[in-house]
Amino acid sequence: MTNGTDHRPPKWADRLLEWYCSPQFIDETQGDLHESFFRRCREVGPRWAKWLFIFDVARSLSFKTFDYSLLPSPNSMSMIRNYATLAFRNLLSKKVFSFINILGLAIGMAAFFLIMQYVSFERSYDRFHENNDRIYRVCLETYATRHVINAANHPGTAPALKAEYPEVEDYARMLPQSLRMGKLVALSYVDEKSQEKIFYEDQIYVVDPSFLTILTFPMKYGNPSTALTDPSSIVITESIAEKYFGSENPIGKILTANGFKPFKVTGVLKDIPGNSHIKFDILVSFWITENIKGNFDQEGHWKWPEFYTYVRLAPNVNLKSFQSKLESFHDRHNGEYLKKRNAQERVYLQPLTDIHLKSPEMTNEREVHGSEQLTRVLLIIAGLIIFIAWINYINLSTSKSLERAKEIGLRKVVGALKRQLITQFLFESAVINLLALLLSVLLAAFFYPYFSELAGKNMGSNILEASLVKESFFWWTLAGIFCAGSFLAGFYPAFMLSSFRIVTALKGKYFGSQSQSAVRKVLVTSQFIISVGLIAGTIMIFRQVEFMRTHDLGFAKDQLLVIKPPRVFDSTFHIRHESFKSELKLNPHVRNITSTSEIPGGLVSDRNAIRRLNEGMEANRPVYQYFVDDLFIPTYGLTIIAGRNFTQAERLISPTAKANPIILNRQVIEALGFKNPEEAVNQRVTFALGADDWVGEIVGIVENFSQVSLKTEYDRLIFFPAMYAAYFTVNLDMENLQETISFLEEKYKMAFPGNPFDYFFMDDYFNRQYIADQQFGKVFGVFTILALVIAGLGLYGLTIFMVSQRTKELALRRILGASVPNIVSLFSKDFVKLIIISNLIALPMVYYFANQWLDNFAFRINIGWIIFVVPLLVLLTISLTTVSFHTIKTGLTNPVKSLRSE
Amino acid sequence: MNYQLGNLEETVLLIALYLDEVYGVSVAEEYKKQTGHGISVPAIHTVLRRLEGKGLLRSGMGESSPERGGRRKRLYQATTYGLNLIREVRKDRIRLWSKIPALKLDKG
Repeated sequence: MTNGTDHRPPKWADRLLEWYCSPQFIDETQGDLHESFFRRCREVGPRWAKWLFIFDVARSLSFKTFDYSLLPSPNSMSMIRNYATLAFRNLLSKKVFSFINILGLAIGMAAFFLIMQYVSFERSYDRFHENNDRIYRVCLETYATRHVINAANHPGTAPALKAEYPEVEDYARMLPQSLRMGKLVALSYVDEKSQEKIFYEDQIYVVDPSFLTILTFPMKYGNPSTALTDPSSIVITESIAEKYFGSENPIGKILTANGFKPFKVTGVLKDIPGNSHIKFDILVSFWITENIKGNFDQEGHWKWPEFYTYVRLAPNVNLKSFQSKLESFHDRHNGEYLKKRNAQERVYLQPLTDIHLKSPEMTNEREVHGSEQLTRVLLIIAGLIIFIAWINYINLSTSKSLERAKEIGLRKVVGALKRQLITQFLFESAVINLLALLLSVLLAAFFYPYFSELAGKNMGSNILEASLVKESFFWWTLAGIFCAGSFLAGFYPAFMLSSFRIVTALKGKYFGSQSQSAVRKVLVTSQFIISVGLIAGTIMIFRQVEFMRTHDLGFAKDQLLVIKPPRVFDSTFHIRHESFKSELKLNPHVRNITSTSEIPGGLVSDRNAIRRLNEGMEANRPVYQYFVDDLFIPTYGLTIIAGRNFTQAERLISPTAKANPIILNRQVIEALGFKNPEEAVNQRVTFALGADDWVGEIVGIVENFSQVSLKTEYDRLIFFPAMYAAYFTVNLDMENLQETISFLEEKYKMAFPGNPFDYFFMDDYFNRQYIADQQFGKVFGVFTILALVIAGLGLYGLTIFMVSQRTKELALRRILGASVPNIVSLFSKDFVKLIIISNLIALPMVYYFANQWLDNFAFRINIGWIIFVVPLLVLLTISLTTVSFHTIKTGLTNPVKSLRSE
Repeated sequence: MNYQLGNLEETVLLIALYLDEVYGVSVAEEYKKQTGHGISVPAIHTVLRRLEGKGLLRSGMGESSPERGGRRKRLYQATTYGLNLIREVRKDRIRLWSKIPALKLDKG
């Protein structure tokens, strides 16, 4: 045990005590508590002593020890009561102003909370796993055609890592099951009454037995360390269990896959939380088939980068130094293969908790990631919205000052100090902020499910369950917003209102309007600037996304339907595929059908490297490879820019043949250094397949098309003639689509009986790459609208004020013959000026940031005039409507009425 | 003599009488030593202040030490009134005790 003096009592508790206790008692209380703290340190250890100290402090905060000088004097207590009365009277007597103020602030705060919740949800990903700070995903960094990071790794990586490095405590791999048995698996359950329940399942992963001990998904039944050890065990989620077994206990029940393979349920997981980067319904143990096991142990080890690999490192491993030890890891294990392809592979350890927000772009990712940049942008928007609401408050309360000038004057006459007046106004602003805060909580709670849907996140339907309310930083922010709103936004009006000179104020003359209206103009202009920026941002995001969705990709994506054939690896494979294809061609709506190894809309998984015949290995240009039949080019509507297409019978011949026919795209031709496509026709090149170098003859060159989204450049592609059906792509005309699809299904069932017919449209498939951008656009748009609503509310309030100030003037103008439009324009003029000024200020900034953002895209829109015109028009419309709304009303009242009233 | 003295107050007053000069921590320690039950220092403070309020104790500031964060002790001493009162209490108690038949007590 230490001598006790190394430890100190918790500072905050000590401070609290000092603050609370009156000087009379502080010596005794604090001294005694300290003394007993140090004694306890020796007796029961510092941990307990600290707790007991806090406990003692709490008990010492009694009425007796309280420092009553902290309280306002009894006199000021009654002043406070007076302030409260006044504040509520003011709120009630100016209902419109109070309403606009409170509603604006509340909307702003509600938007802020929702955004905060979104951000905190995004940041909470994967933190529910135990030891999440020591768990890493082992990704695969590849330098080939381009620098690509693959979220998955080879099956051999994890066991080798564990065997070679003591830093690795344990590992688990998971493989999407679709890679093994076709996309869908039919699971069936037969209950005691021999009733069968059968469903198709597609969220199945094959995992190592250690999986649930590394990623500790919460379990309802079963033991995480043993649930997956048996080869025929299956772990399902709660909802899957309910689907098959209802309320019965699922443990020990048998589920049969595809009618022949029985699995015993050994564990039930709670449904996968929305903030998990990987989502699944069903887990089965790796060793389900000897086939897979065989593959792991042999060659497949280092050429199958589809295994999501997670490792748990020992405590206190330094990531950087460990990562540097792994530099040569893949070279050691896979060197020869990589050298041949002029590629390099590296292990990339990614912290589990970084996967969702801080991930670089990766291939093979199962779920669309969040973006840290997006969360920052949203936080900024949230701040701006609050800012707009505060400006409203400042503007409205300063403009109210005229009406209150007399009240203030009189208070001064009867002896109110400036300090007291300021307190009074701050008190009023605190009351308004408090009401807004309460209303905003209601608003946020009400709109929470809608927002959750808008953001495309399963954050739960109830805000009380939200992760946010459990975080202390949220409550601090809440308090911060309240204080900032009450004091910062309240201070300027309070200060300004309290500094009226008595006599002028009593005379009812409104002095100082010069400087005051200048401030107001600056504030309104900054609101407009923010609005312009937000509107322009929304337009740009929507335009860019729309551009990407509709831009010509270089192939006919709108007419293509893709069917996934079952993986039949027997001798009937070719015959069945061929007969299926020829059957389809009989239908007049089917223009063409092709079978290929890859389709556009995702990164090509197979790589190759190509060089000209006279060049050495070091000149290899990395490319992506496709196996296609002769109908690929017509089906996809690609353009041959030189040479010819493959013929039907053409195939790769052999590694020793002098000329194996190949087709390249324009990118490769350029990379190989040909002057023009024509020159390249019939030229020879070298590429690699299997362990051999092959000589290829370029028979044709196709125009570039977008293999992946328009965010990136065209890829280099090499096409080999082969029968390889990972996908059938059908080019259809869109008439009678339903009929054609049922025709396809019928033929499919005939050719491949017992297999589910699974198809998708190429344009949907391709455009799913933009889902995240679309969501971003929507969220951005909604908050822009909110900001505009708040700014509009403020304008409306200001107009009411200005009109009320000039009622008599208006009446006289009316009598002298001014028309209503005249009067509207009289008031709008000022705002229009401000709008134009704010556009001039905002647009250069918009231009700069828009360009920055658009530079992320390889194919992007030009900023264009629209971005400069639309925000201007929108703002003009909004402000003119709000202004005219009230002025027309005033203009139409009988001028005599307003003149008569005094 | 009119007095109102709680059990804990009585104990603390007794401790103050035989230790001559006491402060919060020393009373808490002595209390634990004598009764075997722990008691928190703030609870002792409350009692000491109440006793002072009743005039049974009087207090003055003592020395400080680094262990006390530089704060001085408030030292309590029993007043003559306190001593008289505790005598009264004892007298009352003894009178009451003497009323119980000796047999009954011995059995227990």
